[in-house]
Amino acid sequence: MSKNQRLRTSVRAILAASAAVLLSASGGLAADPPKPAQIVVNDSGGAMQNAMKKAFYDEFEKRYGIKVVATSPVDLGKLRAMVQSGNVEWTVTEIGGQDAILAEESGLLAPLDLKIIDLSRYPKHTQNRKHVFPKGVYSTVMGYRTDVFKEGNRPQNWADFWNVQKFPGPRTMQNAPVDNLEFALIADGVPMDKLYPLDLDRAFKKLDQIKKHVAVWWTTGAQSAQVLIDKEAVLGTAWNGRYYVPISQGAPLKIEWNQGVMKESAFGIPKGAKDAYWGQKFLALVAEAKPQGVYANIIGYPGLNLDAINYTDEKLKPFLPTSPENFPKQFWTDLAWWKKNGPAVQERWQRWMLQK
Amino acid sequence: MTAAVADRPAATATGTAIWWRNNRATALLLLAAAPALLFLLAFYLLPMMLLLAQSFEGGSLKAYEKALTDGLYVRVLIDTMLIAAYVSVICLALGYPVAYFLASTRPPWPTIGIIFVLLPFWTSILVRTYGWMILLGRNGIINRFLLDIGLLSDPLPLLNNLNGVLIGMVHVLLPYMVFPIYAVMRRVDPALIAAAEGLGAPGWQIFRRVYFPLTLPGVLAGVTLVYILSIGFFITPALLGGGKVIMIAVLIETQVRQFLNWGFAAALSAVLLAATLLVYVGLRRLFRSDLQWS
Amino acid sequence: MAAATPGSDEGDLALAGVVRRFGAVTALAGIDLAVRKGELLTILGPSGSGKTTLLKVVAGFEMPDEGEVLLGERRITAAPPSKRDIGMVFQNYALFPHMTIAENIAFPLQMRKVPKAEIRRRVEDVLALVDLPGLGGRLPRQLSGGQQQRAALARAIVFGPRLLLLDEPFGALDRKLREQMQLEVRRLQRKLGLTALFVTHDQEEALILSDRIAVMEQGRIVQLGSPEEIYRRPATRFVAGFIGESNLFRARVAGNGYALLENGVGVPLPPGAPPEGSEVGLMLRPERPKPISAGERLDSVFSGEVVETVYLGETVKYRIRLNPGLEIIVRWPFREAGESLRVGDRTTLGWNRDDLHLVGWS
Repeated sequence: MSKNQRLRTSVRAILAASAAVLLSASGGLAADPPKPAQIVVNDSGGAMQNAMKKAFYDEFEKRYGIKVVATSPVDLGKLRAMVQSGNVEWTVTEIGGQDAILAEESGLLAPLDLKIIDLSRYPKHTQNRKHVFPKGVYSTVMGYRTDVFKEGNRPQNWADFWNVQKFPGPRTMQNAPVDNLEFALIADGVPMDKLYPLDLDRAFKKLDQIKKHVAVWWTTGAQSAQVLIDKEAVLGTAWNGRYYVPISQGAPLKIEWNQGVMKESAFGIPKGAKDAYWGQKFLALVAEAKPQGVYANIIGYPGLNLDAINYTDEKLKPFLPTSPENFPKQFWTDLAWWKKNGPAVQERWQRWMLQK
Repeated sequence: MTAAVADRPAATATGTAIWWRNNRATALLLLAAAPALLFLLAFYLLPMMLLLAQSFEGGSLKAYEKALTDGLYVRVLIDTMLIAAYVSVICLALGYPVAYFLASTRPPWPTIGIIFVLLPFWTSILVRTYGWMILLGRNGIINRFLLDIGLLSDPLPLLNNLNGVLIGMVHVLLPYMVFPIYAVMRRVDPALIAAAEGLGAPGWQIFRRVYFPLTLPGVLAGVTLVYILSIGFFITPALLGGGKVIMIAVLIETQVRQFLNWGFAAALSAVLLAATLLVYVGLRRLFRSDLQWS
Repeated sequence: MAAATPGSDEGDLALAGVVRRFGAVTALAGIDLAVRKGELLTILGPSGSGKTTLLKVVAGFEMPDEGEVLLGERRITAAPPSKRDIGMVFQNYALFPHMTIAENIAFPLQMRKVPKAEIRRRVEDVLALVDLPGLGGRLPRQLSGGQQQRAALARAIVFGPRLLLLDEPFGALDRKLREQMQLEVRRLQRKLGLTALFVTHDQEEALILSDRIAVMEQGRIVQLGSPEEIYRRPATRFVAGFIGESNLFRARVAGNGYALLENGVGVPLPPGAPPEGSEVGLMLRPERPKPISAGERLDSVFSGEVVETVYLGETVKYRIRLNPGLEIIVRWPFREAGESLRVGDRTTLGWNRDDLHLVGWS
């Protein structure tokens, strides 16, 4: 360490110590640990990253003077490798919907400090989180082309989706069992609140009926909407934000919220992350209503803070899964069931895909 | 002579000196290659060993048992190798004439041709893939054109099936076939072709008996490269196959990313690696009798 | 257009008025040539003289712009190489590296659909003929240069071609092997009675091997004749300079059978000199001048100083500066030169008028 650096460090230590004394004297608050020059937030990249920057990263930099470096993509495998090797680059990372519980149970996440992160204005069932920060909500919904299905003859539920006589045309669905099994069971007459545990045999049997009408089993979010835009399919499923963007640009698409399946999008602090304290501070900011409103206005994915709706554009409300009109039509996915059965169901799904 | 001196224990110092004198070129070459060797060791061999170690998690062969007996994985492995074989054959059929064109035309055509062949290299895989979607889709440029001129009444299924996967993969991998063949073709001595002609061989015999065998090393290199690269393909089949074409890399990726089941993923990778090596050895065997001269 | 008479014993291979141009360059400017049956005729010329183009026209790799090529009765001007019935030995042999020697030799037979058993027999025979018995199973790269040469020759003759073309086939061999191979090729060609066209830039090789030599310069045949004729009586200054070593003096014909050299010294001319005032070249082969012993009488006598000596074994080559300011090269048997002609020594030499050969200068 050079003389200068040593001097600077000791000056910083003295300042920090004096600040701590002052603070504890005045309000009994603990001192902030020393500020790093930057923290690293790993997100899904693309349009999402732009929105994250405008809503949260810029605000965080302004508030604390700490630069936020954004990386992508979200990768559970990489997270595991980082935590196991002890070389954690990310201060905070997004976690794919179904992976949250797996990440938590695999011990990849540091506990959330709910004294720093204020979840009091969140829905009740999300207030006692140990490791997984509830960043927002997205919903897998039905979408279709309005030039193919005109007013008065539009699919309104999964039974309609399965009804190829009444609603002919190629379909697109995600190349994964998650959501699709639920949709199949609903189409087969199972009520939304009696889905879990999923009856796999019944679900796959129902899926058999639709299989040859699915032109594209989509892999990426971008693909799901593009397939409808390109008319490769006229009826499909996608995450709601993926439809929002083309619709706002004038594409002839429409979302059917009925029987959509909601999931939380999650963030977490990797176990062993450097500057974890500032990770907690970052998540605290993300939990605030106002930046969540800003974020939703850009990308159409709402946060879970119930006050965020006050900061959200009026025009946007019909496109949010959390809007009072849309919310009750949908159901929550059962992450615990998927965590437990995911690998086996995935294998069965792939076997099913291989059948002619 | 020198060897005898080196063998005598009393003359070790001299022996070393002589060894050094005789083998200096080899030793220096080794030294020159050392950074690359170390790099491979550190960033390729070592991680691979670590990965392989994970496949024996808990000292059991369970992961292998599953990888080798479960119908799903066996079937997908076979499909993958078949697709790789199709891609190699199509690349060869398309790439050989292209390489011949590049090797036999006058400037500036080779340069222009090479730029065209390289274009896919300079385009991001997503742009390339979406480009194909626009071209090949049900409402894509090709289908719309064929429908408009009345050649078709229903769009051709070019995308979201095996056709799409093959087209996309061939497009990306064609340069890997063209360049090794082109390099070998450039080295074919024109006198050999003239000799064959002068000795009474008609055009196709010249090709069959002389030109093609002489370019076989390039063909083998190209086929091997394309085959091995094909086997690991991931994004292109997922996007252009409409999810209906499953390749082994997709299954491995699911195991790693979605289920954190690295042991099984490692076993699948090991099986894939072994299968690839087997095919490689097989190809070499097949060509060996024809290549011993090179 | 002058046509050769095909079928006569005059020409087995005949070229008549053959012209080949590459853009502005005329590579062959009207070649008339007849190669006799069983003859080895050498096309000799420096690079760029058109000899390679001529070879290609005969082999069929180049099409002449004008003129005809005939092989026996057949007009082959436009026939593809594969239909010409010509065996060719290439500069670097052009053995197919991926085939064994036997396969290489069998190739032209297979192309002619010769039955398998016969192919085997003929390959064996020709391997014995070129002295490569038992090496049929080797790959070309496993053979020495000389062996490859023999294999290439075997491949070129195995199918009994009407004509054998040899394109600088000895260039890649070292001197000793080259001489051996030259004699061997000559022996085989004679033995088989093959008509052969041999292309080389090496005049020494041409002199050793050929029945006749055609010397080419700038797309034309400037002289056609036996090696002896070409050597002794070169038709032009170019031929004189190109074939063998020679002293070439520029001179003007004066009266009385004399010519004046450039420095004004007069030398007696051989008979048949052009009229007075013409410019001529006087060629004097290095072995012609003699050292003068007392009392000997020669037409021209000079004395001079040795400026360079080169020992060539049996002979010694001297460069001698003659008194009137001329340099001359002479080659004398070791003995005749006396024990000790060294650089700086003075000597007297001379020649008779018949030792001189007249060539046109311009």
